[in-house]
Amino acid sequence: MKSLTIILNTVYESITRLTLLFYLAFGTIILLVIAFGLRGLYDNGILIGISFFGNQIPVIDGIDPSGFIFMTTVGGSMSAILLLGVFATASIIPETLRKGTIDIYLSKPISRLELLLSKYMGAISAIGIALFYFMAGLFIIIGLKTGIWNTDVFPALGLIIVMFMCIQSMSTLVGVLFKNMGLVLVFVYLHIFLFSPFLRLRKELVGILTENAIVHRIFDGLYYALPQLSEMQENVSFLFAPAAVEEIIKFSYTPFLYSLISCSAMFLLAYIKFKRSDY
Amino acid sequence: MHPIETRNITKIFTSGIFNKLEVRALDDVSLEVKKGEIFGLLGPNGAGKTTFIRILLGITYPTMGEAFLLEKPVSHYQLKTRIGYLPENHQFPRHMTGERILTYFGKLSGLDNHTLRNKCEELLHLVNMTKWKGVRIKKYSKGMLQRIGLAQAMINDPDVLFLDEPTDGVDPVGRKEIRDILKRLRDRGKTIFLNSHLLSEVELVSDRVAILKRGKVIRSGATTEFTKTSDEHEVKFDGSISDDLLNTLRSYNPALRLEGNVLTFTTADRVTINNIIDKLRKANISIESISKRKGTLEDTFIDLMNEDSAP
Repeated sequence: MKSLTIILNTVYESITRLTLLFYLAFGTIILLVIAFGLRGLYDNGILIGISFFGNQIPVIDGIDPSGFIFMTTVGGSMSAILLLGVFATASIIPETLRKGTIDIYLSKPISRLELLLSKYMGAISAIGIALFYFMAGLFIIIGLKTGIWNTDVFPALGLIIVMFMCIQSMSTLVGVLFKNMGLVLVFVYLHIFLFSPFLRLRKELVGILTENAIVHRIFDGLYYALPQLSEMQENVSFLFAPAAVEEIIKFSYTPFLYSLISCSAMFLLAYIKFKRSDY
Repeated sequence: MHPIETRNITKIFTSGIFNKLEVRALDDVSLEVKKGEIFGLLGPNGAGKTTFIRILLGITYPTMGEAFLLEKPVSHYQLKTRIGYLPENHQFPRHMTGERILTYFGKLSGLDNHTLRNKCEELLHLVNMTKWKGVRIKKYSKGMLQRIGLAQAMINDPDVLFLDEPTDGVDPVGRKEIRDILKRLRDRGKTIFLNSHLLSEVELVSDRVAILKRGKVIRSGATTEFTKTSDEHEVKFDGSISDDLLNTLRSYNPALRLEGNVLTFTTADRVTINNIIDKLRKANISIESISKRKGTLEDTFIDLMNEDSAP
């Protein structure tokens, strides 16, 4: 009951701060672009292809053309989804830990674990609502326009939420350590846009600098210790790959599993620090 | 056991590289607060008053010592269903209205919806905020925030109430209202722990006080012990006193002082007082008033702060 109260309030707080509304507005713009630009091409009632602002994608040997739309839309807007999602929730932990606010929370009959977990779940719920709106909107618009109801959109939604769970664990840890929204944004953006792509290509990039096995091991360790956001991002769009190209671009759950372990460890560290700290 | 009890609480804050810099915020503090009393903790800035409250609420951990609330160690967070707290400089989520704050923190205190509805109305009325209940708190003045903060602290009808600077930013009428609320709560058997810089406020409501200085309790006791009437007398008069008359008066009391139209002297001897009055009357000086000066908590506090200026 108390957890649910905090979760709902966190969602409400995100909405009133306008950051979540901005996120929803961004999704609405993409949905409107697709709604206006996408058209199904039919011949005697049979779908022969789709057109997007005049560019035609034909149906070839039964390959689902909506998969391409999903791949390009979800894959293309993924960076913006992450960027805005992190921004919408980065202040949640630092604001909770502000002097004068944390005092009131900790004077209530609620454990520190329950408080931290509820705030975490609140952030995920806020993002989850925005993502559901976007993905369900895509599903409906593409379905109505082409007659193809691509249900891969729902596992994709789940996987993007897993990505956000990892990102929010990182935000929570940095927030508990530094109590500063700016630093949360810096750390998380650096990881999403720099460290994660770098670690993914570590073998090639580190190999240019050194052959030292210990250095390679260190980077391997970091790769498995931190959420594998680049791989996850890529695999979400692979989910929509048509069956004919599955041999070339193969979806894998492995980065999601490794990242879930990593994000659990980060949340645990955040909790230990929060539990031991004086406020 | 008393509702609030601490035994030898010491808190050392560390900072710097390898935690080498140490600040002893509290030093061996043992205090007891009885059921149904208002207890005032006084001290200059940085004396450790807020740290002490935070330790009692489990927000800060003591380095050494034990603290008990309602007969249980403070680490039992479930006991906070019976505790209320108004922190100094509290920061409520700014998107909330006054009413929503009460509902939100009431739910976190474990109240059900029905109880909450009644309690919110009752408390908003008590702190004179009914008119503003639907307005977002970012539009509230400091005094209004304090009123809502106080209502928040009382939402669960707590047995023990901690108030850190409750009248901060509140106008004189509001202060009087808060004092009356506190007195009513005490009469209902609630225990109130008060931190305040406003010594006159504390003096008006507290049953007992303790004074903290550099983390140590330097004096504690009933408020009346800190505000005893002194033997200093003030005589206000109309007219002027000649040098001869002043010398005559000083023959009764050499430390007698004249400042404007006020004579001040310290004596416990009734004969001396009467002699001075007789001489004034004989010289046709019209006396406006004679009063015995009452010591205030502030006087005692300042004396104690100055007393120990030397280490």
